[in-house]
Amino acid sequence: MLVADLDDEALRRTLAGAGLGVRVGPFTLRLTSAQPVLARSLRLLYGPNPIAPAGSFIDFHIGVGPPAGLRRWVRPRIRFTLDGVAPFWPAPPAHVAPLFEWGLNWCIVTEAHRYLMLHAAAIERDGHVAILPGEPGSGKSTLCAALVNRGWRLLTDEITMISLDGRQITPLARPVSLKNASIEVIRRFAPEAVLSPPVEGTSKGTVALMRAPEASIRRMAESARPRWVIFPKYVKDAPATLVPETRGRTLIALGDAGFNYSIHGRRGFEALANLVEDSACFRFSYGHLDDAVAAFAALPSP
Amino acid sequence: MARHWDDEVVVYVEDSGNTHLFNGLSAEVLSTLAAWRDARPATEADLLAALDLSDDAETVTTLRAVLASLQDLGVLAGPRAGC
Repeated sequence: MLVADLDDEALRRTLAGAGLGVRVGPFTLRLTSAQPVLARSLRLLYGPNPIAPAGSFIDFHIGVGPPAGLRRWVRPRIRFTLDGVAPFWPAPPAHVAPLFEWGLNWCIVTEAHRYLMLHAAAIERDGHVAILPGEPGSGKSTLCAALVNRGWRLLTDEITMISLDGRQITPLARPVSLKNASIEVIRRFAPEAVLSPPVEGTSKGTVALMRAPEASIRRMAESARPRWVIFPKYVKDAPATLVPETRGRTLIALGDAGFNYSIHGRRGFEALANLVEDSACFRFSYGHLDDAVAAFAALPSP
Repeated sequence: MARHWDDEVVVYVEDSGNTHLFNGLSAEVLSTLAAWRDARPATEADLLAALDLSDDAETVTTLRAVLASLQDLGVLAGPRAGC
């Protein structure tokens, strides 16, 4: 059964009651909330995700609701909790969708140490994964959103989860976070993509979430092997250009992008070294998404 | 713990938890010492010969500076016997 199989009333009632178990990649979360806006957001962005059967092991017990005290009534706020603990300041109720996504990111990067985790997008084609690390503003999420609307499978937009031998990437297939001008760019580039209403005034500006393609969600149990590491950089009006990067510099950059590289010590180093050794590594600059999609279609086979 | 690719060497230093990238002479020194590991102690003269370097004062000073830098970073495993 999928989240979308519940009607609005059943979804609201379940969330407000015992909570809803949802499978997201290798994780199962139980979400409890009486916020109607969260129910709407969940249906829109996680509709194709399976509901976890009763009795499933729950990785994350998540709550989204008002804090205690005056904030229930005066300039209302909502807060994200994991096991009853709130790791962030409360946010306006309109921010519920990005708050949930950032909260789930936090759950994963602080708990899922059976993986080596990088701040990077990952997409797959023909069983081969391209890892796209990127600083904020690099155009990583925009490029990722474009590519998964042109035949690539979305594994992740934010957290790339690598097996500790460096040979497999485990999918999350969660929404892609689009910011500011990227929202309209993707609306025009992929009118069929499902986007949440834009949320203004977040710490990252205006944010809209693009639902993961249904095919990617259906295949979220299928890991795949890393074959390319590509550092994207948006440059206005620049032609799409791939420039080879050395393995050494790539490894250092991936280590810098690691959420838990230092925790894993020598095992983390071995994992990244194996990954880099198995991959072709590039710097990629682009100014137009159509050109970027064509360049990715022509990537040399691994 | 190190990986060698073309003219680069990346080393993970367990004591510090740091990862270092080397190229140029540093990488050649590391690759040479790695190839000799467990075979014999490396002397300065051995290294100069293996790297096809002359033993003039400037070159020796440069090699010593590289070795000292690698030692300071904890990249060289064990004492540099003879160097």
